[in-house]
Amino acid sequence: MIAEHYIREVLRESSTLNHLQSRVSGLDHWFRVWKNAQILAQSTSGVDMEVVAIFALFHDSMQVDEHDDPDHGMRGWFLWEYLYDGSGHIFSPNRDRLVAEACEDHSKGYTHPDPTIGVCWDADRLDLHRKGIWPDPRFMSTGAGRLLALGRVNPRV
Amino acid sequence: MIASLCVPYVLHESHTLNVLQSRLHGLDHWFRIWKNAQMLTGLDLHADLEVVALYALFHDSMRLNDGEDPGHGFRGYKLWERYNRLEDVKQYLTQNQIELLLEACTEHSSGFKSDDPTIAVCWDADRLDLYRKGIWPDPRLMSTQTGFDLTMNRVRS
Repeated sequence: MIAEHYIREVLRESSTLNHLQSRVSGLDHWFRVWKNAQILAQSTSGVDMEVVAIFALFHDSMQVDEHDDPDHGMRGWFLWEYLYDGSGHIFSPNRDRLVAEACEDHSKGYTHPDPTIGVCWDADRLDLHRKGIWPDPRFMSTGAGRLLALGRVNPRV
Repeated sequence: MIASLCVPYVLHESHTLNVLQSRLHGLDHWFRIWKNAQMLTGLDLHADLEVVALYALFHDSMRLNDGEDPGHGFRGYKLWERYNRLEDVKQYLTQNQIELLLEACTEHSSGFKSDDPTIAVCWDADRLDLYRKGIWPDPRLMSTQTGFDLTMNRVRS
């Protein structure tokens, strides 16, 4: 996957890992977002997993504050742009738009009709329980995400 | 580094990541051990960073719980052996390096110190991350002079 080529640079540049040393938004979270996305994609059609993998790696890579950091998604996307510009990889404009939108708006509480962005955000929200928050089904974008969130909130549903 | 060849396999097989989904002993912890080790070896050229990187990746990879879990270090080493049955990467290591990895993994939670510079860096780098559990590392249990100095400063501050 394309994202694999950027892991080394992200480990080196990430403020979340190297400066904030986050306990909730670091590598473990990125890994679980990727695992959640793989589950969601099994029952969601039209998902571009290359975009999702890049989202998992970059979306929280540039946090500077654990609690109040509204622009961290945009900074994560800036890091992607910065590394991508010098990489020589070819990424279609549509994929680039998806990465930008998924990263920038991932923490704003929106849902999205695009299956790729929907899976990115749902996979992220399904890991909210690391902060002691059950994901709210009303904020899930995909059917699979809603079912999982419902299941977690009330196992009898 | 040899450890980077093992990363996809460990991500796929690690009990700590995929079943326990540990908040304390997962990827963030392994990453900080690697960063701590690089800091510790900045002044000490005797430690073998190939072994240290493998230790960071495997030592906590097979935890069953986040508590005592005796034997988890040996299970981490066994995962290294399992990987070598699929891909013979130990051919790039000497017998001495393999024995260092075995000892570093199996004894890392036994509260020992080590005279060997490589094992000393592995264990000190691990203990320097104890503060994630709210524990200040005990200078008396540090094996390297740099580790001792760092913990003395942390205790004082």
